[in-house]
Amino acid sequence: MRWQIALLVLVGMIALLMPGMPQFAGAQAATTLIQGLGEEPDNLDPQRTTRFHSLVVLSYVAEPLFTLDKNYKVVPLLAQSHEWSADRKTLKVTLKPELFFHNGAPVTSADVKATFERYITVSPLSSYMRPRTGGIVGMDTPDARTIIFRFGQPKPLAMISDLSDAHTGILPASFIASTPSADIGIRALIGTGPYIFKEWVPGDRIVMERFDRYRWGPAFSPNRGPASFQRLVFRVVPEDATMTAEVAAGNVDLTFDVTPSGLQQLRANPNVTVMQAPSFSVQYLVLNMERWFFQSTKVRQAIAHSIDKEAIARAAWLGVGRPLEGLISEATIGFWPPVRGYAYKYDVERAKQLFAEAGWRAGPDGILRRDGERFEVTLVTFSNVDQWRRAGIVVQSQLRQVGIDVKVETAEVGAAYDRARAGTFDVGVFRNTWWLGQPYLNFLTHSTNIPVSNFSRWANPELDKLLETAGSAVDDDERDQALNRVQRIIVESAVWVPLVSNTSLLAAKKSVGGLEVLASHPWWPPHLRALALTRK
Amino acid sequence: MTRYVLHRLLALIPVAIGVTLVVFSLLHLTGDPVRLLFGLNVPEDIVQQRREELGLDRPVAVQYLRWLGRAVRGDLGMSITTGDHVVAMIRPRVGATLELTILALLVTLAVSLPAGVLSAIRRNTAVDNVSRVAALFWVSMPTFWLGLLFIMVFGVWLGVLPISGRAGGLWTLEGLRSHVLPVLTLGLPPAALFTRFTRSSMLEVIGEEYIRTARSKGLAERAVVIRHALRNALIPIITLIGLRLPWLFGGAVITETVFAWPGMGRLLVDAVLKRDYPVVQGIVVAMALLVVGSSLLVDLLYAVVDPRIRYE
Repeated sequence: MRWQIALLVLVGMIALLMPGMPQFAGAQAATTLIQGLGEEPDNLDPQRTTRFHSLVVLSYVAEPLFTLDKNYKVVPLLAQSHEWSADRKTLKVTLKPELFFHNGAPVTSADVKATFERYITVSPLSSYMRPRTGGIVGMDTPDARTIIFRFGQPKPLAMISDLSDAHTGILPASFIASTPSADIGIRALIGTGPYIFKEWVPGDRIVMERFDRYRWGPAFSPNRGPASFQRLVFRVVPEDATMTAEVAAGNVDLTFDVTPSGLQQLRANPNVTVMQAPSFSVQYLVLNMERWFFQSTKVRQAIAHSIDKEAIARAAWLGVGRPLEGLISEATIGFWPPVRGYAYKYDVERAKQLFAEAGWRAGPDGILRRDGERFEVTLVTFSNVDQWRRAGIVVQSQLRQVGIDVKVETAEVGAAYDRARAGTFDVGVFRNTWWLGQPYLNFLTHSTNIPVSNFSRWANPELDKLLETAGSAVDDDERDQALNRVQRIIVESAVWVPLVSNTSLLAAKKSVGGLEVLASHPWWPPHLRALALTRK
Repeated sequence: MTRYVLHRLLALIPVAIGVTLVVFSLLHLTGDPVRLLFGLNVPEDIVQQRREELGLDRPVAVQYLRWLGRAVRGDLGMSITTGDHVVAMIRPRVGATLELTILALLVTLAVSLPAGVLSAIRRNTAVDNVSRVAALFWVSMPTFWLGLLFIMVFGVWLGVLPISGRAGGLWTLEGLRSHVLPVLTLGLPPAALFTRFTRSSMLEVIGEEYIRTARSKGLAERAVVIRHALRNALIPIITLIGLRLPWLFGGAVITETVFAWPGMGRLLVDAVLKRDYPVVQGIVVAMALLVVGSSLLVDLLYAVVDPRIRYE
C-alpha cells in the first residue's frame, strides 16, 4: 500500500511539472495575443482615468471621433468629415455611416453628445473644453449623424487635443445613463473599438474578444478591421524582472513595458524582437529661481554647459535614452527642430569661465565660493525608478566637476512633487509625459502655474503671452510661430535644462507579425497595435 | 471557551482602530493623492474640486472619524484611483492571499517537522549536519531573490512551471502548477527556522522521563517519537506558528509582487504607491482580521494538542 501511495505522489509531481497540454496551447496561441502590462489600469473609463496604461488598454475598446497619423495630422476615425466656422467657434462633425457599438446599436450624434457632456463634467483632463474656459457651451444634433460643437471662444486645438484623444472615446448614451459610474470601465465598457471588453480579473488579466463587425479602422492602417487575433489578453506583471523572464520564456507575446536593463537581456535572446521609438517622455533639470545664486543668467548658463547629456543617456538610461535639446521631445506635437541650435553644449571650460564672470571662485576644497558662501545645493529627484534616480546622481557628479556641491535627496514621485511645489529644493530632476506641446509647456512654464507645475517659480510675461497665443490664435502659422518662440526662450533662459528623452520599448516573440507596420508610425498608436499585429 | 473566543474577538476592535489610525496618519503625512493621480497637466481648480468631493480638504481627524463611522457599518469607502468600492476590490483578493499563505505554511511544516525530528533523533550525525547547513542556506535567502531564482530556473531555463500569475484554482492542473513557485518561495525560507526550532524542542522532550518510561515499556521507537515526543514538542512550535503568521502575510506582499499574484499584498503595494488611503485602510483592516483570526485558531490548537490546557 505504501509504495502505491508513493507512486501516486510521484505521478502527481510529474504531472505538475509537465508543461501545459501542447495542442490546446497551440490552438489558443494562434488566435490569442497575450500582452504583458507593467502596471494594472486603475479603470478603463475613458472619461475618468488619467493613467497611461488605462488609456492604452481602453483604446482597444472605445474610440474618439478622430485620430492622428504619423505626421500628427488629424484623420477621421468615427467621423467622416468636419467643418470649422471661420471664427473657429463652431465645429460641425459628420459621423461615418454604418458604425456600431459592441452591443449592436448604431452610433448616433446623441451618443457623441452624451459622451462629451460626460467628458466635460467628469474628466480631470477636459479643462480646455469646459465652458468656464471658453470650451463647449452647446452641442446640437440636427440629425443622427451630425453633431455641432459650439465653443465659447475660438478653440483651434480642440480637434488635436480632445477630439482625437481616447479620453473622448464615444460610449452609448443609453449605457452612460443606465450604468452606475463606479461600474463603467471596471465591470462594463461598451465602445466601437476593434475589441470587446469581456472580463477583468483584478490583479491578473483583462480579456477582450474581437469585434467582428469592425470595419472603420483609420486610413493609415493596412487592415481597417476586423482584427487578426480572436482574443486579446492583457496580463498584469508589475515586477520588471518577472516581465523580462515572461518574455524570454515566450509566455507573453509582446510588451511595451520593458526596462532598460531588461532590454539588454532580451536583445541577446534569438526568439525575441526588440524595437525602440521616440517617446513623449522627457527628463529635465529645473532651477528654483527663488534662490539668489540662480538669479544670474551666467550661472544658469554655466550649469547648462556643465551637463553632459550623452553621459546621462549612457549611465542612467543604459543607452536607451536620447539627449534632449528642447523641453519637449521630437515625438511631441509642436516640437521645433531648430531649438537644437539654441541648446547649450556640454563645455566644462566655458562653464568655468561663466562662473568666474559671475564672481564665483573655487575654494581650497574645489567648491565655488562667492562673498564667503559655498555653492551648495540640494537636488531632489524621484526614488522609485532606477533611471530617474541614476540621472540625479550623474548630474550631481557633473556639477561637482565644475565646483558645485550637490546633495541628492530622493523621494517617491508624489513626495518629490510635493517638495517641488513647496519650493523646498534648489535643483530638481523631474520627468513628464505629454503628447501635445502647447498645453504641456503651458503647465510647465506659464506663471499662472507657479508653484503647481511651474516648479522654477520663474515668471516671464513674454513667455506667458506667447503660450497664450500658441493655445488660442485662430491662424495656424501664428500659433506655430508662438510655440517655436516659446521653446527658444525656455532653452535660452537655462532655468530648465533638458536632459534626456527616453525611448518607447517593445519586446515581442518572433512569431508576432506586423511589427514593421507598427514601426512605420512614430508612436505605435493603439489602432495599429490592435489591427496590424498578426501571428506569423 | 466561548467566552474566551468572544474576548479575543472583542480585543480585535482596539487593534483595528490602533492600526488604522497609525496607517491613516502616516499616509496623510506623505502628501496629496489627487495630484499624484491627476498628474501635473490638470489645473489646480479641478484638483481642488476632486479633493473636496473626496473630503480630503477636511482635517485629518475628521477624515478618520468619518471613515471609521462608515467602516463600522461595513462600508470601507471608495478607491481614490479606481472609483470602485473598496470592499469590492478587496473581496476577490482575500482568497488568493489566504490560499498562498495557507499552502506556504503547509510547505513550511511539511519540510520542517520531519527535518527537525530527524535532526533531533540523529543528533550530530550527517543528517543533522546537512539539516543545519540547509537551514542556514534557506534562512539567508531573501524572499525576493529566491522568487527570481525559481523563476529563472523553473520558468525560463527548464520551462517546466508557469512564471507568474494565478492560472486558476487548485482543482485544475494549470491552476495547481501556477501555485508551485510562489508557494515554495513563501514557504521554504521559514522552514529553516521551524526546523531548528523543532530540533531543539524535540531534544528537550526526548530527555524527559516519560520518554524513557515509554521506551522502557517496550514501545516501538516510531511510536515513542511521534506519539509521545513530537506531540509534546509541538506546543512551542504552535506558538512559533502564531508568531510567524503575521510574517507570512507580510511576506506575501513581496511574493505576490514578484509572481504577479492577484492577492491583497499586491493591491496594498499599488495602493500605497498611489496613496489610495481608503484601499490601504481596507486592506489593513482585512489583514488585521486575518492575523487576529489565525492567532485565535492557533491558541485554540493548544487545547487540542495538550488536553491539560483549558480556556475559561
